[in-house]
Amino acid sequence: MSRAHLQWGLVGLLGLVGLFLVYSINPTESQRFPKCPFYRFTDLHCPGCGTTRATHQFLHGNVLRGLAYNPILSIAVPLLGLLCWEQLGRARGWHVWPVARWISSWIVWAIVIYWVARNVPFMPFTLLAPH
Amino acid sequence: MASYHVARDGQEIGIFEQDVLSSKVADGTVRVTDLCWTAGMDKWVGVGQVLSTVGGATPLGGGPAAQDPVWSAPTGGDARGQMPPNHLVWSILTTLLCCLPFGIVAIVYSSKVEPRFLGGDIAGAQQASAKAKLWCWISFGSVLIPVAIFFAIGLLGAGAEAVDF
Repeated sequence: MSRAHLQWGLVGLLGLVGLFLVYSINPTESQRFPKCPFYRFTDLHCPGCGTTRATHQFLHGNVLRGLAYNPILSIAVPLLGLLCWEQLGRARGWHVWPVARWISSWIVWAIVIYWVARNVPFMPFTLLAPH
Repeated sequence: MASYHVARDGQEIGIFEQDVLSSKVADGTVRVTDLCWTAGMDKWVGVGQVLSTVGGATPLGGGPAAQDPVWSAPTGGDARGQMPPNHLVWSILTTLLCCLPFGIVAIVYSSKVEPRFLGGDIAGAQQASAKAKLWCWISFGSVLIPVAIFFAIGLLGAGAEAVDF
């Protein structure tokens, strides 16, 4: 077994353990998951706030309730899938659409705008905050 | 058959198979002054230089590009000609899951890898790749360490409610 296999095996194992913990413990009812440090110190939501709670809902099949916690996941998850597909394709010499280059051109701005937008305290921006 | 990335003014304009490159030059899509690169080459070279080597429209008989002398191509373990990994997946993941601004730094560096590489700045691309990786780890570590402590305390049942992170 190569070093790369070992690394991916370890990453996969940690990922599964993490998913299992998020599945079995509801973050809204337990103190066991750490709160977002950014929210803790600033009372502002960061782009990732709500992801743990959303993942818990996704794993229980509640897609809409999950998206209410962090709607950006509806974009981020498919994008991550596309990026993985691109990497796999490149490694195998396929002609793939340059996903990473396209994403690179706007993602930083998108995150900064989302970060600001979900802290604006009136409708419709409040829909972007975890709720 | 090798496929060539063709770039002009630091922007990639297309990917073309070796055997259509000369017809692309003929119809004006590609200029002989554009730069091109294919896997195995350690730097970008002029399209004209490649065409004169492969003999215009005559496709090479399947010979691997790396054997051509013009490119002084690296063989074996030398990976200088490969685009360095951009780590974009990990940058986004650590931004979403670790929520401190470090992930953004990782994304900024990730975004620079491909444009720099396609612009011919291979050293710059490698630098950006390494920095993206570093910031992914910083972002990951900044949350992993508190999480590990938090979970250890929580699972020991030593009053998780008392811990106010």
